[in-house]
Amino acid sequence: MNAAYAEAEAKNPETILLNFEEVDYINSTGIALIVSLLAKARASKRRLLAYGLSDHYVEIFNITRLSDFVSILPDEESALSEVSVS
Amino acid sequence: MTSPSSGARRPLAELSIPSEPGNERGAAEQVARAVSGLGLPERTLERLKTAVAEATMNAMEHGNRYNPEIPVKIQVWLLEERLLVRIIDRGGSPPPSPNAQRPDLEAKLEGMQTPRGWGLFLIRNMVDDMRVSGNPDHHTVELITYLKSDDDAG
Repeated sequence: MNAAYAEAEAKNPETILLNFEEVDYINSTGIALIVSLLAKARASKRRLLAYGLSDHYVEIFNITRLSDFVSILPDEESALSEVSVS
Repeated sequence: MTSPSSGARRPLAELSIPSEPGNERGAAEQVARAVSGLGLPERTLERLKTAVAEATMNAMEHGNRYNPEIPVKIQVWLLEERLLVRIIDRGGSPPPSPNAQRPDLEAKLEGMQTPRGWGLFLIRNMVDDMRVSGNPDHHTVELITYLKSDDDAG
């Protein structure tokens, strides 16, 4: 995930999308990684969007308050729409 | 298998998980299979799996120092109106405190705290009760999920 983020960041975008459609397991180590990426994004004044999370992991994003800082969309289409209007 | 102290109880599973990174996921799946006949709501089951995975990961890392020759023991019990999962390690480090401070996301984002430290927080929020006990030789974490007649809203 770090490598993918670095590759996306190299293009200097305003927004980076995190695709969780193929992710069926996130543990506390993964949460820490997402927190690190979010910290990097904030330092660079970039916005993070996440899509494709299952209901369970949307709940985890909510209880950890990651959803206060990372916009959560249901799918790629809605995420891309969110980027295009912002 | 040491039985819990009171009321009607039925053992559903006893597992031995080698303390290697990644094995917590299989442990959670095995616990899910053990309770598959109870008709738990999907949300409750996913929360239980997360709690079991996190507690097992803690046991493997902090209790057993990721020594694959020292397994984490997991017991699953059906009690009256409760499901009890015990995760037992060999106690290499002090047991986790169930009252550990809530992670401060803003502090972590500002670099004032490590990004880590979410495990116990997730466990406490995924089950109805968590109890920790132990001695220098072993630690036991007990995860309790109340069995409700309808889907929990909690």
